[in-house]
Amino acid sequence: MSLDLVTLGKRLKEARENCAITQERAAEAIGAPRTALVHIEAGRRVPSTLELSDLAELYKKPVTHFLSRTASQEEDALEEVTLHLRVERAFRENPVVKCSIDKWLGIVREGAELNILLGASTHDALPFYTQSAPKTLSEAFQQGESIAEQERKRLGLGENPVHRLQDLLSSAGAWVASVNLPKEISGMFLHEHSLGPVILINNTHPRVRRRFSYAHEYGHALIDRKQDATAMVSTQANSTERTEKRANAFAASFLMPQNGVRTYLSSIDKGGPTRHVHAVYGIAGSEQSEERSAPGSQKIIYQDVALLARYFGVSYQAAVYRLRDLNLIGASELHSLLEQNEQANSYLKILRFIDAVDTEDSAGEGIEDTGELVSQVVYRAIEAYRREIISRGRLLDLGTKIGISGKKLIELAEAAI
Amino acid sequence: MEVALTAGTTAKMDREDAVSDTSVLINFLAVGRVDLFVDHPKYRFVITDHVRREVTRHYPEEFERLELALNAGELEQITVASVEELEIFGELISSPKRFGSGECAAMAAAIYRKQVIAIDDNLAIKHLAKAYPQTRIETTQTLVVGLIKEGAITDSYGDWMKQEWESNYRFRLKIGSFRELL
Repeated sequence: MSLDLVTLGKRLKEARENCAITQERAAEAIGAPRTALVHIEAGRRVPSTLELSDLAELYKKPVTHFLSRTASQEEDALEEVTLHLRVERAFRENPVVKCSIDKWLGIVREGAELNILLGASTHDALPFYTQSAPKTLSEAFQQGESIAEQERKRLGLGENPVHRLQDLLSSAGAWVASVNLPKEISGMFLHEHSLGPVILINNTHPRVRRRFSYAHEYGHALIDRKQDATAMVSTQANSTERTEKRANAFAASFLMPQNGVRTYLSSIDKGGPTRHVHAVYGIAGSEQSEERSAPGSQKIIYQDVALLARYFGVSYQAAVYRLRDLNLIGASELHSLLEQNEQANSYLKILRFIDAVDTEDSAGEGIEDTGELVSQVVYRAIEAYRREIISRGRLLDLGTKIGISGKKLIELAEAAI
Repeated sequence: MEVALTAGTTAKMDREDAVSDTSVLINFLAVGRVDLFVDHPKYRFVITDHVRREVTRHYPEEFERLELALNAGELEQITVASVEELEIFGELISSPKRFGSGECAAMAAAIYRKQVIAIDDNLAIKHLAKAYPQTRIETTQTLVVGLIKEGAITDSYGDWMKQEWESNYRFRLKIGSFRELL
């Protein structure tokens, strides 16, 4: 390998510009004058190993991204660039978010590389449901609903609520994390052959909305991932697109299965017909008896929906719309129940079902929930160290990247030997 | 605990230059005996700026001791910044991402400068032996043996340090006592 300083400088410059970082700030990060950075980017000055590592860290890229590469590394890099361009396109107006996504993708990449070193399969275990692009909204709903039913069946979920959606997704080979994103973005689905599916959810949204977003992006992963790099961002602006509607229908049906909703309502004696006809066959012929429910007893009111929402771990609003989709309420009930959104959330708060509350003040406090993603990487790192596949120094670097003390990580890894 | 003898019984001028990785440096810092490291009778150690960064980031308790040694001029810090070193660094760090950047910087400096490297990681030692067979390697264990042989510490003191590393720092040596190696 021969080092090409001009190419190295060019890659460093590109990475800096992609993160919208000024030369001054980059120079400050490596403790050098701006002219030093100018010379490095022009290929006229050799960066020290520490300067190069610091710049890589600042630009959320691995050091190897900047150094000369082998043919296979070039191939991976090309795919990485394709995904990067898709993220770039989606966040052209918001380089800070783009850089933050690069950070999480960097951690995912570490996990994927550990997978390769451990000899684990790089193929994700998620099935792919081939679907033509929906031509109408109705078709989008049907496709989403049908795939959710198939997926529930495949996973043997029956009609029960899904509790730890993140666990389910990560055990299927997806990398998942709840990170800070702008309010208007609910989540995103990214896919690249060497990484597998990546789902990032907006941590600033209330828990119930985050669950819906996980399921929504899960839908994208099952239906919309392509052979080449895919980046789909779910925002308020694109929520009317048919592929987004299809992912919503998937999420609603996956989280609130039709039979599950009916069984739940039946258990609280709600939503049934007001008139039951019992027919008994006998020797003398069939006999019929009719039973009428007390007037108004079957009417679904806000507290029924709030408790249904809590049972399935979705927002009150999502539960209202699901009841309408299943024809369990009509248009006028939909309207009046939606108007009682505030009342329903206050009801859940009084009952201390805080997890089910869907209000701004119940949103995440800015502490990103990346435990699942970090645990996926730590698990592989300890295993790789135990098997002498990675070194102590690599554990220190991984610790820096995932925000865990490298000393602690080494101690944990040593304890596994 | 037996009191250690004073380090540096060999004339310091005869010492050979050596580069230390974090793994070895940290062991001496952890037991509060960085003096044994900087006054090692056989080697005059330098550390890379990368190693210093690793101690700063991951070993806050040991960081202060390292800073004292650096500020007192007992230990020298180097920057790894030649094209050749950066090339070796690139080879090591992408082979395929088994090593950390601090380790790679220390190894690159030792390889290019043809100096001894002090490193404890087994994987790194095996890689150096295979890919850079001319590189001479010392470990915490061999350095302590050297200290005992030179009379800088007693074997009992070496065993005390070994015990400390095992009990408090999860660093294990595959020997029962340093006496076995003398």
